[in-house]
Amino acid sequence: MSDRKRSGGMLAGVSGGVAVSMATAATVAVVIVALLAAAPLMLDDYWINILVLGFISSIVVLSLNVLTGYTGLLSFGQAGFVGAGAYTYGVLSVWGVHPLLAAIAGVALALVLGLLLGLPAARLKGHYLAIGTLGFGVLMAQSLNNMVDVTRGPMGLLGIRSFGWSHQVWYWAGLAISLALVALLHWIEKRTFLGVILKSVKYDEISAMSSGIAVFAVKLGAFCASAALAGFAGVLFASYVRFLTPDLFTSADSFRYLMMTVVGGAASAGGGWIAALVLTALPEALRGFGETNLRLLIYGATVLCVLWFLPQGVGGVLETCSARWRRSRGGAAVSTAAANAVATASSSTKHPAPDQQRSETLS
Amino acid sequence: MLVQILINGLILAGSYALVAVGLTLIFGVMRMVNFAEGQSVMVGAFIAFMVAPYTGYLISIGVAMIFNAGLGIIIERTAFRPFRGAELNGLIASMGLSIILINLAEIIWGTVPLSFDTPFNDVSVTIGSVGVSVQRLIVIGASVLLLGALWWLVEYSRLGRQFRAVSEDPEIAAAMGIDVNKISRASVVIGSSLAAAAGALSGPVNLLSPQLGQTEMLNAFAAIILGGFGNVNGTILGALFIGMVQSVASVYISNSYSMSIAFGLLLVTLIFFPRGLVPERLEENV
Amino acid sequence: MSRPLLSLAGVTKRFGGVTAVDGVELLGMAGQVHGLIGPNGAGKSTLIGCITGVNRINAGEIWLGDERIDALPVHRRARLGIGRTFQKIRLPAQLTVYEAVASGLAASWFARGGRGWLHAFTSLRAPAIAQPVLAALEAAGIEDIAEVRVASVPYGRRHFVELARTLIAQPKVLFLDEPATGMTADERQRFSRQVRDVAARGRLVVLVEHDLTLVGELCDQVTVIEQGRRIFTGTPGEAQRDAAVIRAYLGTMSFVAPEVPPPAQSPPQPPAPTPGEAAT
Repeated sequence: MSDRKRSGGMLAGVSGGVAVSMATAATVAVVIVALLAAAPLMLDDYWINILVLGFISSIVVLSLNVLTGYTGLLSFGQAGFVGAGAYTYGVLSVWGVHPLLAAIAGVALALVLGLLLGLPAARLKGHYLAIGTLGFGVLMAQSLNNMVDVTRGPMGLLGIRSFGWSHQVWYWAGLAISLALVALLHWIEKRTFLGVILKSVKYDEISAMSSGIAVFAVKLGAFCASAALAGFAGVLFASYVRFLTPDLFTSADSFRYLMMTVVGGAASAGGGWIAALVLTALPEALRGFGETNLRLLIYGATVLCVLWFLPQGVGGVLETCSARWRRSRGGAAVSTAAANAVATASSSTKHPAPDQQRSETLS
Repeated sequence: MLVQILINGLILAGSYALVAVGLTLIFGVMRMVNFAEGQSVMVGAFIAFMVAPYTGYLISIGVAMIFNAGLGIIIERTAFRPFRGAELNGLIASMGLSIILINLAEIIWGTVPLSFDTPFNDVSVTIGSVGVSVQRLIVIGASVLLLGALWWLVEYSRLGRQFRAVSEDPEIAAAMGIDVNKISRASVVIGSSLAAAAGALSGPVNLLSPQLGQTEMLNAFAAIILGGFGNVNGTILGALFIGMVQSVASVYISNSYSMSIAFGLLLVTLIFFPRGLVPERLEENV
Repeated sequence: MSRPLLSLAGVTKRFGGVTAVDGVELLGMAGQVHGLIGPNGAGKSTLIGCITGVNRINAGEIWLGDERIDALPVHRRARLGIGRTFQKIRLPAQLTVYEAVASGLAASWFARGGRGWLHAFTSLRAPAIAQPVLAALEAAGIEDIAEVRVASVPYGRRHFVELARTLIAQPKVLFLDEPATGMTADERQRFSRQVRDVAARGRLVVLVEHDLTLVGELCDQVTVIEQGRRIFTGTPGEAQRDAAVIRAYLGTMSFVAPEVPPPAQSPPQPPAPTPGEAAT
């Protein structure tokens, strides 16, 4: 009998403790989002533009969060998927296809490419995977460059139809879409069974297989989802800038996205979002320092510094802060937890004692 | 034509091999891929370019190699040693470093490609029915010399044995008294020096710009996969293969697709040999 | 005599030039605890790898009940009811104990074709997951560390995490590869009790262990492997007396703990034999 009470109490305690910290985190987040939403009214067009590009980059970073952070698969050619989505949308829209259809086609093609790459890549490990995906990225960039009849190669693809949104609408759409994706991915990773499956594959494949997880299928799925997300970002990009050249999707760009991901913390959707915005805005913010080279120099140095001093990236900082926040709110009376357990178990749903969850302070 | 293809292939293979061997050494010892290697090539080329008017071309190669040895020490300290155990971060760090180096180079030397002229460019030798510039012969000769020296080093010298020991198992090597830090440093130093040679040698054959070295690095990756990570002999053969394939492809297919061919081959290889052509270790025993 | 739950016939596995497992036969019954013992390097872990699917066998047949499984990949065998723990504990290190054990549900949820994917977006705290997970945690005695990261769990208790993760899918056959390593005496006792429980519920437990006392306590049958070959099958008592087995272990085998001299506070020893009595 006491067993059931204990487990009931634990269940309630667990959800209760989480609910408390989520309420405060949510308030903070709402304030920040409100500020961001108001931004277009305060900033000039130049910065709106930068931020929109930042939102679009953040979606690519999110695709890397899924692939690398959650499932443990390296991708050094992510720009290939972005380019595939962008050019599919661009070419189709130039040929007169309706933007919505072109957009769907862009995401679909990227997904198919993800499947094609995933089939061999899911069997590769570590550095072989890194270089295999690098090769894919190079192949994509060169193909985009060489298929001049379709893509107009280095001459560039002009006249792409946009969604018809104004700068401000693009900003809000970018903000909303990217944040929605961050929330979705965060929820999947932290609170669903799927997140546990992905992470089991990431941390130990062999025991994941022995637990009944079809590791190959999971990896393939991760490639597809990641490619589709990156392709979606590409579609948005094409529709926004309306002019594409193949040199926007080279290995250097793949590296850039990967750097943003690692700086944000590979497994942190929120961290990745922040890192994407900061690392897109940083070179621009440093325009005061003059020429491009100095700015990019500082960019590179920033990446190195984050890696030296914050190896878990921005996401790690977020985690530590939220963990400390949770502890400070419910950390009292650990010793009375046992006494509370029986008493509060029955009324657990009404006023959950956050202390009951305090077993986690062990970590 | 055949001679031309052969010479071109050997030249490409030579610079790819020099870069690839450095990468494979670094990988074998540190288990990290050096994404700044392309920039080592570029720096080597520029140093040689600046020094050559004073010391003559051949000595400038040596100077570049020595300079890069120093650069290698810095690279090891900043982008590799802090990340042992967190190799993905090390990869990204070397990427960040490569951005720093490219932009430093652009600040110092500008972005306009420069022409690295050496007297050897103007002298030719006739082989078969084709005239080949001495410069190109020097590239091939020097590559062979350096690679041969490295091969000897790895196979027969004490340092080479230590390299192999650390590549096999760093913990056991440390337990046997090998200074793993010193070996790590040595691998990056040697890798950078070889890259410098690659740069100094290919500079006169191509144009000189801060973007130099990227192609060599990418092809070197392909060579390493074919030849086996950490496997010096295999890597040299892999580079030879890729160089030849590209040379043939650029004549018979198209120059712009030549890199795609190398990587296409690479991907096809990986499909059938997910562990690379030269398996690294025994099957993991569970 | 009921049908064997697990049967192996002529199972052989070669690694390059080395034959690690050579024509092994084995029959395991439901409700049995079957020990797999042998000197170091005899091939016991490799054999387990063959049965669970990590190693592809070169020859032979492996049957789970009515189904032949030697051509199936690891995860399919897991979904058919094969569970295992590893000699070097394998767990997703950065997950919490709760999450790690929850991941074990995959074997039962995906057992019946595509329906498992409907569960993919189930919240981790929903009853569908929380109930079996908490039950498994309690059975293994680790509910107090549910929210601790696996990497922070002390070594001995990690065995129980692995066990809970494997048992949550209610496997028909459970392979335990040297599970008692690093356990305290208390943990060993709790572990034995759990193993006996599992067998009592009609499952087959195959136990690879070097601790022969534990084997003697728990196992109904033992199979002795030496250099990849099965050299004996029978009860632990019989194994102890078998000539081939003794040779394999060089006579050092004993399933019963050696007599330990009583502690100092106990009553004094009986008097030593007087010189007059013959000492034999």
